[in-house]
Amino acid sequence: MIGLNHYLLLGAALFAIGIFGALTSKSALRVVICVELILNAVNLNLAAFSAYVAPKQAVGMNFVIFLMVVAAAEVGLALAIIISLNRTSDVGAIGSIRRLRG
Amino acid sequence: MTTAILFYFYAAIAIAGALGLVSATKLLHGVLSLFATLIAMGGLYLLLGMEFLAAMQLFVYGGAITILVMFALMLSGPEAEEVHVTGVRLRWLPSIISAVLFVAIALVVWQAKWDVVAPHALDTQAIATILFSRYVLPFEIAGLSLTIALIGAVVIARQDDMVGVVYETAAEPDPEEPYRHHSEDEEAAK
Amino acid sequence: MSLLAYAWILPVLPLLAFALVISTGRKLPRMVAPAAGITTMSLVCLASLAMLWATIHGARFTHDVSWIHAFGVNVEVGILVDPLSSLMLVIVSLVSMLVQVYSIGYMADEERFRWYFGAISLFTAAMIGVVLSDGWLLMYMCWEVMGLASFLLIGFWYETPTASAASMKAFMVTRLGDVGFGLGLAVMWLSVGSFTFETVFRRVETGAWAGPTLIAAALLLFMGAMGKSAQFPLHVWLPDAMAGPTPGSALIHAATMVAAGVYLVARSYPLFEANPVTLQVVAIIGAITAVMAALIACAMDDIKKVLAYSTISQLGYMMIALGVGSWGAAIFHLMTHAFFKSLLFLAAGSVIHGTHTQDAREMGGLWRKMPWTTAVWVIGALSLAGIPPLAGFWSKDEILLTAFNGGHTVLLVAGLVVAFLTAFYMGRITFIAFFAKPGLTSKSPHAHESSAVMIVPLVILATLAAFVGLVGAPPFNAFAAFLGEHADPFNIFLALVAVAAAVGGLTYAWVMYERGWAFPDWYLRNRRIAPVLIHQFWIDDAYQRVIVAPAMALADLLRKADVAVVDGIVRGFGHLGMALSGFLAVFDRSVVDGAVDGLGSGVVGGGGQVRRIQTGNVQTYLLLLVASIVVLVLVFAR
Repeated sequence: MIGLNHYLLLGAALFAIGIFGALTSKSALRVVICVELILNAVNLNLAAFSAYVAPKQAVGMNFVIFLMVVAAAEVGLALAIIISLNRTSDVGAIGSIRRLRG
Repeated sequence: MTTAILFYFYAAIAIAGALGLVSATKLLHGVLSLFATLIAMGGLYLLLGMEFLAAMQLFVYGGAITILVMFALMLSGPEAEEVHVTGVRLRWLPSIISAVLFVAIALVVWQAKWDVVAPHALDTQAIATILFSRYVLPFEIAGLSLTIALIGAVVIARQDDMVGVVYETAAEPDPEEPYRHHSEDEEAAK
Repeated sequence: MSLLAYAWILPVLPLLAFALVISTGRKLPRMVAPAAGITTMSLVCLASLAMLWATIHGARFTHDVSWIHAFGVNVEVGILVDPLSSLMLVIVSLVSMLVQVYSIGYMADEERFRWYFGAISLFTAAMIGVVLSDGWLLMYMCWEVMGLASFLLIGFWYETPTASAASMKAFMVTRLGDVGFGLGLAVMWLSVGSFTFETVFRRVETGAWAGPTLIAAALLLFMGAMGKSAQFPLHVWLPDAMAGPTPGSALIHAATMVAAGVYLVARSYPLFEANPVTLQVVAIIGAITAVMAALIACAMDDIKKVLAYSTISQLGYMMIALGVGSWGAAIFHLMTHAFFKSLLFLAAGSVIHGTHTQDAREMGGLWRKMPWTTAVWVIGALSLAGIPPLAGFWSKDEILLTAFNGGHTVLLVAGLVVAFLTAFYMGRITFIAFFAKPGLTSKSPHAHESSAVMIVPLVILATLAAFVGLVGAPPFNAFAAFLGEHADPFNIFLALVAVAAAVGGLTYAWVMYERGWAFPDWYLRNRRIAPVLIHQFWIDDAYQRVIVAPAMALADLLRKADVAVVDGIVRGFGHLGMALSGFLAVFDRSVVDGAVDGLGSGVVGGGGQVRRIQTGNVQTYLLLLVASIVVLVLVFAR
């Protein structure tokens, strides 16, 4: 009854919501947290594929494990950056960080 | 049947938590919503038959990352409390884009023919075997990257007045001393 | 005689002298030019005397050469040596030689010394050619060369505007006459088909050529004679020709060139004799010329001008002689006139050389300072006036005799009036210049006699002027016989009348100027007479108004048209080219450069627009990223 599609759709929905949050957040911290959400959605997709398509090999699951590790590392670093930025400028106005303006 | 109910239950919590994160006025509330989503995701993993993964999810995301984010939030200061006004000028555009994205993926998913097999749970021993035999290299690298991230985070986040934490403060050597020693030696030698 | 066969060499000799002067220029010493000229002329003189001697004894020679022989046309040229031509040869060569000797002294200070002698040689060569030719064609060609030499000599001091204008005037007026000469040749060719004297005369004598064409040919030839011999109305060039060097005038305008017209009519006499009309025309024009010129001469104070008008008058006299039927008398007068007129001119040159003025009023009492010159002048003046037994009397008397015997009363009276006037004006000038008391501004006190090289020719000419007339004097009448003409018996009464006229003129002059009893120059103060004489009967003014001014106006008009139209067209093309290039410049600047610049600015503008994507805002980049993914998904998912 609950097929692969359900999980995939759920993952897509979470992904879309995460994208929306990343694009519209004014605070950099919120953007980082939304990125976590996106990553989780991806994890869900991978896990679903692993379970439904090739459960014996468990490729997807391993992928998810490593992805979790990387996500954790990335979050740590991102938060460190944000903390550091917060000391020198107003992090909240993410639109004011415009060094890359061409 | 049970799976269906549980699935929809967890799914609802996940989506509600995500929406809560996006629409929360205060970031702390949003983080807590996310926490709910993360827990629900763990439940979903269980439904898929991946106990190890579910446990990892709860530990890593639900425990470490959420706490980490809250720490950062606390250390960031008052600007984390912000009005839910986007920095992007065109707010309707991201909504449309996200919606279109969802619809596009949904269409793709619905139309695709998956080679579906019945779900089959793997026990932890099997996971460990695979992890340490086939994927041992990525495993080691993952550990290495964690270490680097840790050090990097520390370096990035430290303050300038914390220099002494890393090095021992050393006294400045007297610039004239080496010469004086020489001359004393010479005099002593005569 | 075989000598006459070499007559063709005679014109070549002076031509060689001319060529020598022309080719070497200033490279040879000064005296080489006159030496060449005088040497050649002496040779010619001796040869011509020999030929004269031969022809006196009846020798004649003629030889033709076929010059053009094509298209069924045969034109012959050749030489003719007979009494008339040999006589002319002697006159020409003798006077030319004496003039060249004289010129060594007169032109000593002249810079273009050598060129002068070259021109004299050229002229003499041409005159000899005129005299020796046996047909009108060759005569015409040499006639033209004479005109050229005259032009060169009159305009010798071409730096002065008077001289260059005078030479132009001479050339153009004589050219007018030469047009007639040329047309006459055309009529002759069309009527007879030959230019040789013999052929044509035969035609005329047999009556094969008669009627209007003959009259026309004769009158047209006479036009040429009018031009060269300064007959009315083509006489206007001769007074102005006095701008040239005096010895040159002596040769050309006294003795030789002006006599060429008389020679032409004399040579062509059968043509003129054929109809009484032609002879009448000649005589009438001669009479008008003689009287008019004599009247004008009375009003002239410049010695050379007096002599010029006198020459014109005497040439008119010769034309009268031709017109009344005696070409022998005309040639006789030509000979005597050649000698005494050239004598007078050279003496005038001596006076000018000594006093540095040509105006008689600045002289006076010259006989003290320049005795030789005075003596020869007096001889010449008396000869011209016609005082026996000098040469001029005999030749003038011959003319009057012929007129009287021919019953031409008007011409006779005209001749006597001219004789009186001639004596009068010569006396006038002689007294004013040589004998009267000098005025306060006179240059006479500073005058000096001329050198021997100038005096000797004068003396020779004076001798000739005195005695040469005797060959035609009644006891001998050798002249007429020599020419094959019949001389009229001497009429003592006529001779006395002529002498009376001459003496009367001289006395009147003496009374007026030497003694001052009569009012001197009374006619010059007369309000009605004076302007007529002073303006030379306004003939020059008539020419100016009728011919010269319209011609200049036409030339000016054409020049203006050329400038306006032709130059306008050329300028128009220039403007067109400028406009076109201006347009192209604008086009290049606006269109071409505009395109290039536009391209550049377009790229820059485009870049400026595209750069707006780089907001520096991370979320913008993320947005674009996701949007691209969406698009990719949509595109590739099908």
